[in-house]
Amino acid sequence: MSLRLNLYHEIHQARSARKRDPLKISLYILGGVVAGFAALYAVELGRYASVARELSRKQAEFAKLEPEAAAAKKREDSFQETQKINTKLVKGIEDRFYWAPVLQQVATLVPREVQINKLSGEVQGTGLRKCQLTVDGLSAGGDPRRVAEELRQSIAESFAKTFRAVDVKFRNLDDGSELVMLDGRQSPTASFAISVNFESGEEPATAPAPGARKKARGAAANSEPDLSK
Amino acid sequence: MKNLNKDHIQKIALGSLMAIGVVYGYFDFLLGPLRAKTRSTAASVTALDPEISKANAQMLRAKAIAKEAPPVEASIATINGMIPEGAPVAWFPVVINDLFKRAGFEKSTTKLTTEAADKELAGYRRITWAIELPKVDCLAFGAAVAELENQEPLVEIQSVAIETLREDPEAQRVLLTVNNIVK
Repeated sequence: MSLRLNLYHEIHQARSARKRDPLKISLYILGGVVAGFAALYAVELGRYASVARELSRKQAEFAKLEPEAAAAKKREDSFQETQKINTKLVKGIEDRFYWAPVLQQVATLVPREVQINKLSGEVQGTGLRKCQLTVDGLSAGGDPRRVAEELRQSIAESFAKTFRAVDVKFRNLDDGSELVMLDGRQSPTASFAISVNFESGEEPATAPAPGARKKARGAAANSEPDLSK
Repeated sequence: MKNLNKDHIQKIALGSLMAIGVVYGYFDFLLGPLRAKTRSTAASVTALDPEISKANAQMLRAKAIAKEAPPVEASIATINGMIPEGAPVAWFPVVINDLFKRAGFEKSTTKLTTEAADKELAGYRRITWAIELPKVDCLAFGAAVAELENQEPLVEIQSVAIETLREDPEAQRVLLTVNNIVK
């Protein structure tokens, strides 16, 4: 067995010492950590760039939509105002109280023994109309009070067919001092004043629930106003 | 550890301090602000989503309204067409006089009593008129009232007073109070 002598042991020891240099090893480890951190930063930067692109795209989309939406909102508000006015106007026209049929109704009920001296009427309210009619006249015949009462009853019956809450009563019924010629005979007279109260139309609708309002809006928009009346 | 001399220990301590400094600097000055920026940008994106949805919904509503609008606008135009141009006091008495003249009543007087803006109808006014017909025949007057109510949809009679004339029991004097909607 041959004997080997390492004449370079000092060189080898120095080389080994350099290899085990803690600062060097630390720097390697630190370099690795820095590289890892750099990679993580790059990933994070990529994620940020993606989100920023998305934001930029959405901002551009919103910038394009916003003026159009504002104009649409303005149009919608304007249309809703127009629709509200239209609905009120049409409702006002359709819910009017018509006096001609009332006058006709009274005229057909007055018998030949009665002369109407004054007829006055007034209507109040919107939606549900409270109407008051006063008929002043002179009745004649064998029993002028009965004639006046028959007129009152016939007005009550006739108006009850057309209107609600009909209340017909005498404000006064007095024997007249004068006699009138009726069918060639002198007849006694009675002066009377009949007060007729009744209701027409419908109660105005109370504020609808938000859901109901949408439905009503749609219905009102679809309904053509009937202006032929 | 046995081989570590003083120099090695100093280098290890220095390296550790450097590592701590690098980690702190990295998280505090680089990654931290970047992540905060990403979160803030993502929050802005999330905040924009409902705004965009709202704007899109508004556009859809506008399209729906564009379909609903023509009949309403036509109706308003029809109603506005019933209101002549100019001051109502210049044309309304003429309309009423003509109407009653056609019914055979030569004389009628129409006077403006009150005028007020209608709170519920922006842009419209409600005028109250007093109309007097000094001598009418009751039945013909009824027909004239029917014609007035049919031909003037914006007019509503508020009160009627028909009184027999003492000097002519066959004739009556009439007072009407009417409301009219004008622009």
